Amino acid sequence: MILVLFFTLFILIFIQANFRQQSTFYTKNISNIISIPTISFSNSKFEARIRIYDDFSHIIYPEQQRINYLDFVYEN
Amino acid sequence: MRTSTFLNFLFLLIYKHKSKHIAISLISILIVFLISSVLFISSSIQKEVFNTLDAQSDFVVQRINSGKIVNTPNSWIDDFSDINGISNIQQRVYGQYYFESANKYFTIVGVDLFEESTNKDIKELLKILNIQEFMKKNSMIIGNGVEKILREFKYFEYYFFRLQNRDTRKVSIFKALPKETNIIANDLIIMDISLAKEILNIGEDQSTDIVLNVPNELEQSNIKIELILKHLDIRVIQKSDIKKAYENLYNYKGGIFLILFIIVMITFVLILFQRYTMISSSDKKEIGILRAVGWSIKDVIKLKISETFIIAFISFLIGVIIAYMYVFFLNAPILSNIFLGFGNLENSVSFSPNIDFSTIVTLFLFFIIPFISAVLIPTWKIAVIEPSESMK
Repeated sequence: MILVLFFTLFILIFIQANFRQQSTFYTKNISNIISIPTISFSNSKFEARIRIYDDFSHIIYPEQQRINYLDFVYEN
Repeated sequence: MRTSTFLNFLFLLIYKHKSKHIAISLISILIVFLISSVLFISSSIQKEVFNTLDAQSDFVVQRINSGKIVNTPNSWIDDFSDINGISNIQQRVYGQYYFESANKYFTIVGVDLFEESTNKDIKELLKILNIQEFMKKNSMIIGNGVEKILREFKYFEYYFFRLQNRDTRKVSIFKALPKETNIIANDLIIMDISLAKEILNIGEDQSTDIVLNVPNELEQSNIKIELILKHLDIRVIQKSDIKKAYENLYNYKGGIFLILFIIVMITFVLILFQRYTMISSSDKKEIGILRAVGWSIKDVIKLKISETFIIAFISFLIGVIIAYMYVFFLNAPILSNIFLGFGNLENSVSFSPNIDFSTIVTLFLFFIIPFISAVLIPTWKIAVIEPSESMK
């Protein structure tokens, strides 16, 4: 009984996963048209809806900056 | 034979004590369900973001004035064309439009309909054969969220956009985007680039920003420097920066839930430990009888570990399956708002499955090991007592 239940669930999940994979066509297509790399955040008016309007200065884990050869030319 | 007898006894024991296990199982299912749902949503959105990022240009160039982004002059496109190694320089026009009646913001994106690839993509997306009708008059393609709001205010065929000079521009609604695009295009209005410039008050020879490609990855850092040297009031954003920012954002949000999970898990383990430490006299007797009929301490512990493992494993499995159904069948009502926001237009999205099995395995280990060890220690304490003592 439990085995049948799990088997049915597995088949359902498999079918549903395949169905949802097709929806990536839409997201790729729309992002090609608009050329904006963002998802539709339902932001308040005080936040940037499009993240590239942000300068990333507030990120919580600042990434290490790659050393630039100009760092050696000019004093920081 | 011996194993089958042991398993038979084990399952009989679980069945006999089913009422004792139900409460623990329910709490376990709830904990696993919550954390798995959060991880499923987080990884699914991350996948969508990276899908959209793949289609993006390598660099975004913006003009900065007093720390704020201002419109970029199109003459910069000619300036950048001189740099070797750059290809496909394009202007981009987008911005937000305030819909006063509902106190909501729409995002207007201007596209060049004469460009072949854009033209083809729109035809494919909207399943139309000819785009001439769209280009004949001022028209727009709207996202589902925008359509819902406009319908609420009885704008079925067209909408009058207010311009900066107090003029209005009538734009007819051509078509709504398919529901599957909601995760990206819920608040979008797509229209011709010159019309978008007019509505967003961007000069004809200006754009919001400029995008460009650098096909050779090794040249990207050099070209970034060359771009910066061209103008003083410039900000150059690399695609990898945006990718990192998104990764951080979702790891951060997922991380908060992971911390909550650890706290809940510790509390749960403490409760379990407490419960098994104050073991009832019947449980004590049960272990005593097993010891008296010749079971060793090792056998008793093996029985208890197996019993706990089966309960924990089934609870984990049920928790993950319910989470999967909640996120990918029901589209995660309430929880999705934490990741997508709820400050502006209501967004009903469909999440596409992207399950990282290493995360599931880690979650499983983090759940099972404390669970079993919380039961093991008190059981061992009783098992080492003389059987005659425990049966008293």
